[in-house]
Amino acid sequence: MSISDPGASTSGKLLSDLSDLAAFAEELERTPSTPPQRIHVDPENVERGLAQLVLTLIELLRRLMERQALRRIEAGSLSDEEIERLGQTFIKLQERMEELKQLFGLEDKDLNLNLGPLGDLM
Amino acid sequence: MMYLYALIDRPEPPVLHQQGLEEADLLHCAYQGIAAVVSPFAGSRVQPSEDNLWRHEQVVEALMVECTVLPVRFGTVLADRATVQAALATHYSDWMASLDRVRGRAELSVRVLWDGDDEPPLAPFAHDGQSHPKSGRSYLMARLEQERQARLRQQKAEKVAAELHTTLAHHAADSIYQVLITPRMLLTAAYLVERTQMTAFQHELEALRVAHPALRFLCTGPWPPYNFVTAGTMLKGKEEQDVHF
Amino acid sequence: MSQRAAREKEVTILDLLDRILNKGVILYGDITLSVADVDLVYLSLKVLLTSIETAERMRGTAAERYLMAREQIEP
Repeated sequence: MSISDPGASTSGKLLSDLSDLAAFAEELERTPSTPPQRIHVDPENVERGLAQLVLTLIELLRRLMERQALRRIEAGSLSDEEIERLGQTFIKLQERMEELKQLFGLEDKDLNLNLGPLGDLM
Repeated sequence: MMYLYALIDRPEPPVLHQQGLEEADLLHCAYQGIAAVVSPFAGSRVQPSEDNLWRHEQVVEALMVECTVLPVRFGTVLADRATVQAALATHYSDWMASLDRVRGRAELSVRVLWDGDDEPPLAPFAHDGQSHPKSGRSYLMARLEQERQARLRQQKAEKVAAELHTTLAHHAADSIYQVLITPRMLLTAAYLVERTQMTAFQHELEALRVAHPALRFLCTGPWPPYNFVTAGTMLKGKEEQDVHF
Repeated sequence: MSQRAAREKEVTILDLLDRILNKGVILYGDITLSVADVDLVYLSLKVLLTSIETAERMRGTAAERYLMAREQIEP
């Protein structure tokens, strides 16, 4: 028994509303399962490629540390002074990251890695 | 070398007026009740060009008109007929079971967008230097609130997505779904639907669209059952959330 | 091609890619010769791991120069 509909034609596959196609197209390009972003490691972009990797790691660590701090605040195990100091450090970190990203012409979406079956790094 | 398109539930494939990649003739390797559909392939690597992707899909869909098909992932090249034969022998019982599961059925893809006031809140401090905070504490407090909002949003998304999915899954033999794989993609789902239930499924989708004017629905298909080729999908599909694509 | 038709095609292609590159029957290991550019997904991880060593070995990259310069400005 077979399905008669799929057919050999590869057009006419949309079964419903056409009015929101632009929004769906945009969103689909962002989904993890579309062709993975390549790390820019061709010779012309070696520095940028390395910066991309290094900054991605830094960003990952920054997020992990920030999350740690938030958990401690929720648990009430940090003094007011510690909270203030930590907050200031994170602000500075974020500012530095912005500068580095600008220096290498990287955007937020460049700082993520698709690890295949492991999903995205962040 | 042999490029592999699909597995079918009969030793002889139907006669197709269809060429394979690079206009090669389609061949088959039979093993007991099933066959692998292949074409000779020269060169070391298959380019995922739009032409090649569509050609692969065309072959699979042409087969699907006449028989039950397990589509193979794009780009699979085996050394020779003997290797194909060995693969058939190794996976025979699994593939027979999978073919039984998808017989008479095709896959429909459903995606739902939500937006507007459900956009995730901006980072507490803009990167261009505006609203520069003097207080480290206020930065972290704003982050906490951001987290809290994200959690609430996730919970709300899971609730709505589950409702939508459950309704549609009633018309499917099997299904899988994920919630918020991007901030706006409320639901990403695949449904294994009987040929005779396609219309009912469509009607149900229309009813959902009418009932949820703030959401946007996209349904594509019918596709070959790419998401339902493995055993275990059947078990997960109906009961669990968080099944990963 | 009208804009609507182009959009339809775009969405359909993206949905096709989602299936054909990652799903379906997957054979790998000794039995396959190649699985097209899907391999590059795994290459990403490998590149990440080796890049740390490479970054340590490399000198005079823009990043290092920049960071060294900043250290001089701010004690």
